[in-house]
Amino acid sequence: MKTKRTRHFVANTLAGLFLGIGMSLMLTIYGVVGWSTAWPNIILVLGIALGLGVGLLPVRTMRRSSASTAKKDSANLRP
Amino acid sequence: MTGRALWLIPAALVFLVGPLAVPGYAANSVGCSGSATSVSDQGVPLDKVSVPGAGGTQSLPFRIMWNGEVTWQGQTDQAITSGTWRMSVQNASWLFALGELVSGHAHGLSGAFTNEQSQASWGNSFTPSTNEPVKPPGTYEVGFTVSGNGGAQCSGTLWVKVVDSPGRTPLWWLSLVLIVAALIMFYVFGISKWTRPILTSIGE
Repeated sequence: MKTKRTRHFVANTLAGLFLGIGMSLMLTIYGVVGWSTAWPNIILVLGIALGLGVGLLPVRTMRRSSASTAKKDSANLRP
Repeated sequence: MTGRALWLIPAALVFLVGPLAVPGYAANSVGCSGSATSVSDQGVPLDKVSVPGAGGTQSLPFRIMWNGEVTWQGQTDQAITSGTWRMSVQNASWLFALGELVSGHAHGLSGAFTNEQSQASWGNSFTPSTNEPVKPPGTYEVGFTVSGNGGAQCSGTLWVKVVDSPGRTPLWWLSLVLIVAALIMFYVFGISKWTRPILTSIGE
């Protein structure tokens, strides 16, 4: 059986873009980095890179048998 | 394809850092000299700078407020009878350039003047908010050029810091919304990969 593994590549990249723009704007309007420097652009690219990285990471998988066993065990622990 | 996309990130970084890594030179000018003073929006003296001079650098910028008056005086090496002037933000980052483009000031502010008396000394005062449509606080490298019809020219650059409260600009709210939206999206689409694992049968 083949499991569909959704990495949400586009959504995470978009989240990275939003984070990059948001952090870039916040740091420039507080004067931490200048509007006339490369930093606003670098922060933007770093945000996209972070989103790409998170998007490319594989989805964590767990064996059904061990998961069900763990479920059973935890059920036994309940009073 | 995604592997190739990853190579684009360091390439883009090198491309961006190279041309925009501007060293913090002092305020400089060619063909003219002058000075400027600024007051806060309450009328309290804020800062002063001489061009060329030691101030007006990236680490020690000339401080102004959008609604505070800036008074300047200057002398040109040659009398400029009439011509044009231009003031623009140098090496503007993508976001600022986009803002300029949207507001219709992609090339900064400019105008024309006449000087029938052929005077070489100038002076005036202005309130920045009346001239600039986009008013985010922050640090800018501002360049100015005055070109006379006879060929005389005056140009220079200095670093300016707008010290208005960041919370008063809509950009502060926009950036906050974007950061919160990004964190929610990362939680829903990113962290859920680890917190909600996909169950597989043995032998798959």
